[in-house]
Amino acid sequence: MIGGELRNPVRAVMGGGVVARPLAWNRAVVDACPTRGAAKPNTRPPLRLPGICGLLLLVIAPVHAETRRVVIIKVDGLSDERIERALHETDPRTGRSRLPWIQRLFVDEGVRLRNFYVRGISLSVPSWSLLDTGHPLQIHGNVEFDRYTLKPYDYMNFFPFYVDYAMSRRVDMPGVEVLDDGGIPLLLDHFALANRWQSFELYQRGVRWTTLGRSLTNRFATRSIRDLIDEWATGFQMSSSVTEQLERELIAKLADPHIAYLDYFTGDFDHIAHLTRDWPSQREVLQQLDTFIGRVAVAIERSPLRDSTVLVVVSDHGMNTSDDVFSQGYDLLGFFKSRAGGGHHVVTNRYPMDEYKIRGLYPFISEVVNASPDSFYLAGESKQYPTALLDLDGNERACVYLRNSALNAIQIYEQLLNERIGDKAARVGVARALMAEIDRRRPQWTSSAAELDFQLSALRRNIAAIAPGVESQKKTRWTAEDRRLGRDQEARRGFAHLERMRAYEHGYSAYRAALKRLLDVTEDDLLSGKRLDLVPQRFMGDLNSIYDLQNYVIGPDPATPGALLRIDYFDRLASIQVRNTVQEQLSSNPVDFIATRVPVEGLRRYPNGGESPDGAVWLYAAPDRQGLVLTKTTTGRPLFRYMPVANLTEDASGAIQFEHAAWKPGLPLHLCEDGNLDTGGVSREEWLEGWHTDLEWLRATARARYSNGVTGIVEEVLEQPPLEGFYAFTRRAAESDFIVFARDHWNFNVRSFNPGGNHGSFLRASMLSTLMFNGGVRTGTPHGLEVEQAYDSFSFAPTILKLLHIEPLPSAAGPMPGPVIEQVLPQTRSLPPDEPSSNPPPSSNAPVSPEPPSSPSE
Amino acid sequence: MISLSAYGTPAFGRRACHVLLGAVILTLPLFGSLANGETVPAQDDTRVRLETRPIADGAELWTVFVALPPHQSHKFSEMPVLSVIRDTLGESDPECARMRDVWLLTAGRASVTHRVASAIPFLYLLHTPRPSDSPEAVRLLDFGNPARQTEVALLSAVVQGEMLDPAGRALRTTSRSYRMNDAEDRGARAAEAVAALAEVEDDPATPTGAAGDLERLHARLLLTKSLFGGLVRDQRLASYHDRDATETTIYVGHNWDLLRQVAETDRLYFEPLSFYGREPQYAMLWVRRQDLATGPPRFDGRLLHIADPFRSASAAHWRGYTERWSFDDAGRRVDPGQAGATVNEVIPLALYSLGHPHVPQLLVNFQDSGAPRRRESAGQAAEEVTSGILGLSPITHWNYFLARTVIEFVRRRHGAVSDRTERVRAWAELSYALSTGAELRPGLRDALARHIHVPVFDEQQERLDREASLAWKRYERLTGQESPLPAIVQKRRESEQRGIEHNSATRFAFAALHAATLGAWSHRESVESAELEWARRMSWNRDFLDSVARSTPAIEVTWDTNRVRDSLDEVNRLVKIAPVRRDDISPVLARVAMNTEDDGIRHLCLRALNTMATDRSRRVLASLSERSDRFDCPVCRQYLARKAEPAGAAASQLAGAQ
Repeated sequence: MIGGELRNPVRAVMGGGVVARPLAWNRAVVDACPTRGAAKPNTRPPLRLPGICGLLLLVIAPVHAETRRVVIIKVDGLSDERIERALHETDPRTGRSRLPWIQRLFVDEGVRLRNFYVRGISLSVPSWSLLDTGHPLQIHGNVEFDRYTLKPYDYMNFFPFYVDYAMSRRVDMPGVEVLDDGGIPLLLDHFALANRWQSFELYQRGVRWTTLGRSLTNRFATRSIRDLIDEWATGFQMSSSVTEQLERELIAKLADPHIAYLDYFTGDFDHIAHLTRDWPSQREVLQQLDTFIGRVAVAIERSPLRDSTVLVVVSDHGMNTSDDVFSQGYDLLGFFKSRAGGGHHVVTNRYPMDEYKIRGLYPFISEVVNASPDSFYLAGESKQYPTALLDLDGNERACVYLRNSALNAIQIYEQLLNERIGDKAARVGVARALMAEIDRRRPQWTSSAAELDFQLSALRRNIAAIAPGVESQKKTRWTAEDRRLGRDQEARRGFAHLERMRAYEHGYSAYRAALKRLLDVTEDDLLSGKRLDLVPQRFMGDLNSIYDLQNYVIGPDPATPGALLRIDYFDRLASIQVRNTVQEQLSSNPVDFIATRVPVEGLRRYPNGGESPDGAVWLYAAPDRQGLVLTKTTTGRPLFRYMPVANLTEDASGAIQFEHAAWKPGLPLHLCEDGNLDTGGVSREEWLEGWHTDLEWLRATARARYSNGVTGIVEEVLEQPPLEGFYAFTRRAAESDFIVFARDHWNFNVRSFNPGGNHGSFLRASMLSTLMFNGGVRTGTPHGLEVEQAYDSFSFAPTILKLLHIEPLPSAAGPMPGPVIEQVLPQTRSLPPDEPSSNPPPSSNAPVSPEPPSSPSE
Repeated sequence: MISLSAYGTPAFGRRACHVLLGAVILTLPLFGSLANGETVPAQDDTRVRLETRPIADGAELWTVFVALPPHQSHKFSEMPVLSVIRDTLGESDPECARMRDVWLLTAGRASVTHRVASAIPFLYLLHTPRPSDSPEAVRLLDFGNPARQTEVALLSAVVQGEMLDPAGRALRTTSRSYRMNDAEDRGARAAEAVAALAEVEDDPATPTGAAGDLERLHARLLLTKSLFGGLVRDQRLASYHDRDATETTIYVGHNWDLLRQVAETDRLYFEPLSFYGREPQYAMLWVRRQDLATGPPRFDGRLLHIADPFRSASAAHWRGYTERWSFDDAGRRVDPGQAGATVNEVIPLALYSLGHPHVPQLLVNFQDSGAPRRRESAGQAAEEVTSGILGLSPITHWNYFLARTVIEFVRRRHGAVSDRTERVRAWAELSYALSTGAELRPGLRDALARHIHVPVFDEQQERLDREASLAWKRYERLTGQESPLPAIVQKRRESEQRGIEHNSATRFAFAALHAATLGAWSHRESVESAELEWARRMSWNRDFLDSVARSTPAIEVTWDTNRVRDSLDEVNRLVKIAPVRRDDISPVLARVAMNTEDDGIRHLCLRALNTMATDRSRRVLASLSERSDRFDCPVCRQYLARKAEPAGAAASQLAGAQ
């Protein structure tokens, strides 16, 4: 990260340079945290940074309890249900529970939340972003695409990050870069570089090469010859080398009293549960995790801060896995490539079924164009004109980006004109149709062009302002002290940011030029006889409206010259049927429902004459089974309401038409027939007719079939809270047209096969996560407490900060919306004497070290 | 029973005969008592059972019996498949039990003719030999001495490379052919044994105490496919077994959904098959006859390895086995009799094994039955040409092998089933499944059998009966009046006693002398049962405590401490009875003591270390005494203070005082 003098202008570009945006957090973070604030080398005394950090993070700690360190074990994909099942099994070998450490640390001597749910979507990248920030979703999928540049935000691909890091081009994982651009700090950022330790994970800052190097050497050095022979004969599992090394480092760091934050990520359970439904196999991984937790607990027990340490186990989502069902994949990619699906050339971030392709081995791939042999009008032009983007890491849901339907129509008309088919009158007709299509979009495109001009000019100014400073640091020789304080990384972070801005500027300038061509074209130009090139290559255009998606142009109508073939994607997707459903538990229709945003200005027939909503999401299961999820914010927390509707349509003018429908079984999210919907004694119909806060919805739907679905779909589809500035523009450019949700035990993964289980939907099995706490005697963490009250991801970060008595850093997204989990907070009880004097506590309650041990970049 | 000689190799055919057939059940005129028409009593509904039969002098024979479907055999309700010696020294607890020799009863020892045939290159292209009808069952391994298999394999490789290969093309080619066939033969036998064991392990009627031993035996058999598998320690077997089971479930799930999705795309019908109520291990693909005229625009057969049935003459003119299924309007299969359903004829296309890594393995191709055989024959012929006739070796012709490796890699990435070991395993498992599975529709089973091996179809029933009768005969041979088992048990005990009495150098010298005198001299060891029992109990408890100590950093959290204390009590009892000659338990006791906060367990560890009073135990005690933070109770200090005492008497006194 660059320093405050350089960093703020960069932030201004993303955060507030164009539209007013709070810069406070940037300043605060830069100043408060030495990892992010070490601006100019050697311009400030090292000891000053922790001091400032300490001052800003200082809060008054209760006299009776003290948490000075938190160790977070992040387990991908682990639901409380899986833990519960294993806890209740007795291991015939040991005579104890299958998970003896979890039983002891969290069930007997800690706090276990039995209803901790995902907020938003149950996918790893979005879900970890919520847990790691405590702020509303900024990242909505494991991969996102920029509609205007086709730039993939490939959040799960480590390889390009590692290579770029080695070449000093980047310093953070892609997800962290996005959050940084948005001015949203990570939980990790609340701790100075010297006071934290992070394993390898999705939201990772920096790379420790020594971890990778030592993982190889220790793989052999820590084993006897007999062990190596055993492994040789039974098969080396080199993948565990890094895991083992990370564990060694974690345990070593626990002995350092200056480290106040440690987190360790493991994806082993998620991996095995995707691959196999076999409970013994999943249980084996759980038992390995349990043993690991035991080793960490023992290391904590032997560490200087043992009494002041809180050990936390948290997961990002659950897993829809069942002993007697294979999760069935449906090839949504094949659907969109087929004629029935529109004959699209589809861009994905990985090859489908990549294990059967040599190309699938290429680790740096982030964009694959899957050509359709059935394209109606773009045969052989897949590279130039992909018309759909698909989030291939879909699991139980898939985000779909379709090229703006108007561009399809324009390109079809353009082809007709270029091919000079028909007589002049016919060509005039085609040209007028083309112009009509442009005119229909002209207001929207004009508005977009104006906004883009504004954003680009500000972006260019800011690039010009920060570039000299950033580039001047390229040749800086970093001292060991600089590296120890992370100044080299700060500078590199600045380079990466500048490069991103330049890439945006380049891409969006091309988009702006394309808009200009479209807006400037005239009918005379079209009939001039010159070859037209109105639709730019590799360009999705603006989001499709509901009208577009219900009348999506897929090609020329061969039956009627000059006419267009259109399909209704909602109906087409919802009516997909498969032949080979050989499991009784599964429906032959893989699509559960489709969700997309509804422009609130189009909701003219809003019911009851009440206040208009701030946002709305349309859920489509069938023409007569639809729902509108409405949200509005008056004072305090946002309110949500679910309204059953039918036959919703949008006309070309943007007016939304729909019929009110009665509550009945089969509506998306299946609320009214769900026996586990807890309305607190109020009649179900009455409760469902009302507006409720997110917390009320959470507690009502916690044990329902679709947990936290109403608020989750809003979190996933709508901007929460509405964003502003250039950063908001880039985030909006990455929005998909709609999301397709799979039915129970179906999935849309086409990269490979996930027969074991999946997640990504709002089904309770996927939404139910894990959160458990165990604290040393000075932390005051309760013992033997099972919390039945429902919480969601929003509560994790504020609770951790509250435990550590740290004020949240300022964020561009505002204050953290989640309530603190009060049950975890210290309970009054007598405390033992202070920690050993040989390990002096930090100078304040804030976890600050005057002597940082090392830089993560070794 | 189905013969797998269609697989292509003489060895395979032989294995087929033995193995599969073995698994098969007889209905035939038998020999001996069985030949007189004595029908084996029918068992109850159990699909598989484990019989324990005493042998003289405190050993027993475990035998796995598999029930036979009535439609496959009207004379025998079950068949012995696998036997293993379990030497318990007459004790009932597992600490004294040792598994030793393992036999596959469905396979007979190869005759001289078979062996000669195995050494003739390319013979499999012309001739499929009959399976062995030897009454001697094939011994798969000695569980008590698994390293033997690795030693033999290494010696064989050395002899091949250093003596046979340089001796000329003829010797090189024949010897390599023989070794290749022999290795496949052994692999197939082990696979069949594993299939039988897997069934017993899953059977709820199997005694809990036996499950662990069966799993270890299962793992040991799996390791026979690895050159160094014999060197894997017993402590690793359980985890290896579990890992293999996990991998298999992963492969099955992966291939299950792959086939289903490809079937969907190609407008075929997918039907998973489960033979004994377990996870589906196989899947069939079918095509509806009425769909043949309107196939999909593109047929993707790359991962199916079958021709496009929509453009295939064999499918269009299919006259073989068909079934009639009910379908709804959308073409989905529905229950017969469902309202609005129509009945259509479906044609079988292929049967796949789902347990193969990476891609389903085509086992039966109904449109071209000979295709799998041709593919295997071509692969083996290529191998014999390159390594036998041309004499290419990985060291001197590295470029060839590098190129071949690359090609194999590319083929594998494109969905080829290139692992021959896994292919052999799949074939053996299928043969076992078809022989003993009762859940398959009879007509389909016959069709599968017919297409696995067309040439022997007409004599199918006869072969099945004959092979089943041979399995019984081999079982009788093992357990009858002339049983070799007592002698084998005695020999194994002698070997075990030798390991107690002599160090490895001496044992090596004995072996060298035995070899130098061409077997005329052998060292004889008198067996002391009490010593054997002591050694076994000590070894069992050492392994148990080692697993305890390695499993957790705090034993009292993870383990029922009574179990650990019981084991430590036993160790203390044993070290009082007799001195420890080879002290390999002191480090284990130290580790246990370090990994617990339970004073009782610590005291028992320290007491045993004191009592042993070996050099090693004293060093361990000295080391532990430096960890005063961990051993700061008065009792610990007393034990540790005696670390330097040479004898165990004082320690025993102290222990007694405790």
